[in-house]
Amino acid sequence: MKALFGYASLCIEEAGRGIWFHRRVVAPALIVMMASLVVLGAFMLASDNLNAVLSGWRERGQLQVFLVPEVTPAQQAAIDSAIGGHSAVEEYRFIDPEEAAALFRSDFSELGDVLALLEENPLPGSYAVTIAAPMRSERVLQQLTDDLAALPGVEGAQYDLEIIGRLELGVRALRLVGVLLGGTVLLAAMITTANVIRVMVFARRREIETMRLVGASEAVVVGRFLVEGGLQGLLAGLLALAVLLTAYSFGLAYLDPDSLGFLSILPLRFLSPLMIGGLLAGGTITGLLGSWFAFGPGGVRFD
Amino acid sequence: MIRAFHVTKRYGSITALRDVNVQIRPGEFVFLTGASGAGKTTFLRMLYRAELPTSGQLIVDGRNIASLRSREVPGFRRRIGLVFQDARLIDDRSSLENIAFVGRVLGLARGESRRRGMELLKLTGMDHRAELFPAQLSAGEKQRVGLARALMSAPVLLLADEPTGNLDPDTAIEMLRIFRAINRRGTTVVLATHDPDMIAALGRRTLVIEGGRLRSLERTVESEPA
Repeated sequence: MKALFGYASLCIEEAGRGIWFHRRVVAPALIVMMASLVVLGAFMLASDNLNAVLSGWRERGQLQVFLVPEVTPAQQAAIDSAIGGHSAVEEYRFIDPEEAAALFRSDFSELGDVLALLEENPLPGSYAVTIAAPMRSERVLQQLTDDLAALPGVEGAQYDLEIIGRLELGVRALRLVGVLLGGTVLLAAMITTANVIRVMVFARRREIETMRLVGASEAVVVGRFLVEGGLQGLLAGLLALAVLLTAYSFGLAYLDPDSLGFLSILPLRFLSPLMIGGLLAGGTITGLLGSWFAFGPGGVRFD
Repeated sequence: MIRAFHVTKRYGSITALRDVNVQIRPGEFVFLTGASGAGKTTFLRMLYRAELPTSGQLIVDGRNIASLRSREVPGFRRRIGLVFQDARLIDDRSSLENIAFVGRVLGLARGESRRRGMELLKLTGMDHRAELFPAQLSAGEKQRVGLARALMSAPVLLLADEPTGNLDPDTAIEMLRIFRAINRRGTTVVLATHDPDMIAALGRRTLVIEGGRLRSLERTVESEPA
């Protein structure tokens, strides 16, 4: 254990020295790796926040039933009774056309009072229905929506899951783009790291040969370069986090929530500790692999 | 300490060493001499297993060079101290750190490596230059640091390839005095040089390489540096 600790501390010491003394050579690899991690982190941040919105909506389990303008009191009473009598419904509320117009004005204040330009209020009366938590499955919601939509006097019914489904598709696409783009840039970063390590190894071949001559084992010679790559990746990850956090804080401090439109409903939050760990681990692994490629098959040989 | 039986080294059609037979006893101080390109460096490189004999057997510190496995080489080299003509110090670290690195390779803790490194710098008269980098040292100072580094592993055998080749006569004599002191402590020393004055100054057994062949000249002590 003591020997392992000694070996690890020697490799870390040597790697740190290598990065510091050859910082001008290391800097390009560090910047490329950092940029790729910023791209990846930005996509993670966006998809994480959208996921939070989706999960909030999913937990709400709400359904809207829109009535035709010419609905009769008898039809509305039947609709009211059908909704209120359903076992899956936790609570429901009727929103008359005037209240709907007031809600529209408050939610979309930037549109001005466009409703005032119209001869009559085009918004229909509707029911906002909340489904009981244990019943919030797609199957139950779909069934209830179909049942209510078929009632006389109902224009249509829709539930949040439809929107959630569409948004989930969007989030998945965003994540895929993030993984593809981030992955591609990370691969480029890995190749850059491998090349930088190769150049460093080649430039320091005399130093490495001297190390071998004074009795340094291959584990020390190769290990310090592997650690050097890993440390470069970790450093790039920390820098990427600093860039993301700065951009995030700047965004929160200077952006007007009203100007964000749809985004204003996001309960914005920074990356979770797990994601931060993932980003740092990603950087470290990229650097390690880059180093390994520099020494692996086709890598530097000068014995 | 060293035994060579019919050792030959060829590089393609060129024969660098031919049928070398020699024995160097533990604690002995031996000069290795010959004209430039005679094969001194090749012979030394074989002794620390940077080269392998083409034929014959070479035994160093009880180990057959040819049958040493790659993973055994670092351990083997830790028992041998090497001093080079150009010192071969690592540029990105101070004199003390160059020496302490060997201690770290040997498994010593950082503090212990530095402590022993300072002792060796004192021994070679370089303790006042401990924190200077190789670029800040003169050729003679680099050689003394290189010698201190070679001693870090308390080697049983010290191999020096033209260690005074780039030094002025006074510094060369000073270096020779240090080598002699190390030898008195029991370390076997093989010192390659083509400087006849140095050989004459110490008057030890001399191995001469001429045309790839090695012959041994016995000498008595004529005068020793004080």
